[in-house]
Amino acid sequence: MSFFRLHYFLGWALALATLGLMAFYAPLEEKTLGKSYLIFFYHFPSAISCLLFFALAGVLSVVHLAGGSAEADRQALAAVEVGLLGCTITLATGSLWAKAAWGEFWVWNDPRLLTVAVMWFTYLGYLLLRGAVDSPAQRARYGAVFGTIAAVNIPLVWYSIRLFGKVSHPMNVELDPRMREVQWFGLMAFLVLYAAFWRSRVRVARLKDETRRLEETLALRGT
Amino acid sequence: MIWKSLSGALLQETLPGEPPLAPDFRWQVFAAYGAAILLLFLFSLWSAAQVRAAERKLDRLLERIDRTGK
Repeated sequence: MSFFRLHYFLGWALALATLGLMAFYAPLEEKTLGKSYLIFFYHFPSAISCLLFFALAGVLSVVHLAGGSAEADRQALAAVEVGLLGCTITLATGSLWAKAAWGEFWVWNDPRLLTVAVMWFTYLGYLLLRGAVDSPAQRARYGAVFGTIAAVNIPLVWYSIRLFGKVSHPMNVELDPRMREVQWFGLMAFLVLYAAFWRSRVRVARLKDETRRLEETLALRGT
Repeated sequence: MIWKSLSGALLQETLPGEPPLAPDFRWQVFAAYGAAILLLFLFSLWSAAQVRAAERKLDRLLERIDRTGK
């Protein structure tokens, strides 16, 4: 088994183990939120993963802008794709939890919800922008500029409650010891899985670039 | 707005005989986990399919380059 497949397998095994811990190790009910609190164990890892991958995309965008590295551009694109996946899961699971905890799927005046939604649309815009530019060099440059500017939203999301005030999301969440263990296990599990996705997306981007290069070579030869 | 009524967010295990304030969302919680895992699984399938398609295309192009090079 290749290291890449092993990485995938490990990620999936850990993600499913998190489900097992939720069902058989973590307390099944929370004092106030009841069973709905279990959503926390995959809402939190998805949220942290998406922030980390978007931050990674920001750093790689700066690296591309500084040195023109094509590999940095490919890795930034992959990080945005994986981050957007995590962000989608965060929004979807957050909405379900909001229905249980607050009685509504969406609370418009909650700064955390709004900043995350803005972040989701921003990075969707990143992918749309890249899809709309034909020249690979221009696409990489525009993507890097967009990725750098979009990264400004990450601290806004993180500090949104401190900056704009608490509406529905709590400032911070404290957990019972067993809950905390499952929380950090879940985060580690999802990070391993998302990292495998990221490597897979980088591979796709590399192969596509190589294909384009060969097509250009063939076009120059007139075949 | 159950959570909003809390002064801080402290998640604690329910004490025996003390029902929680929130509705019972047990099956929704596990269904949502299943949906999240399904989405991740579809993403990995999509990515693997793209890798395979790109590799096949690359092989075809390399063959063509070999032929035209000779």
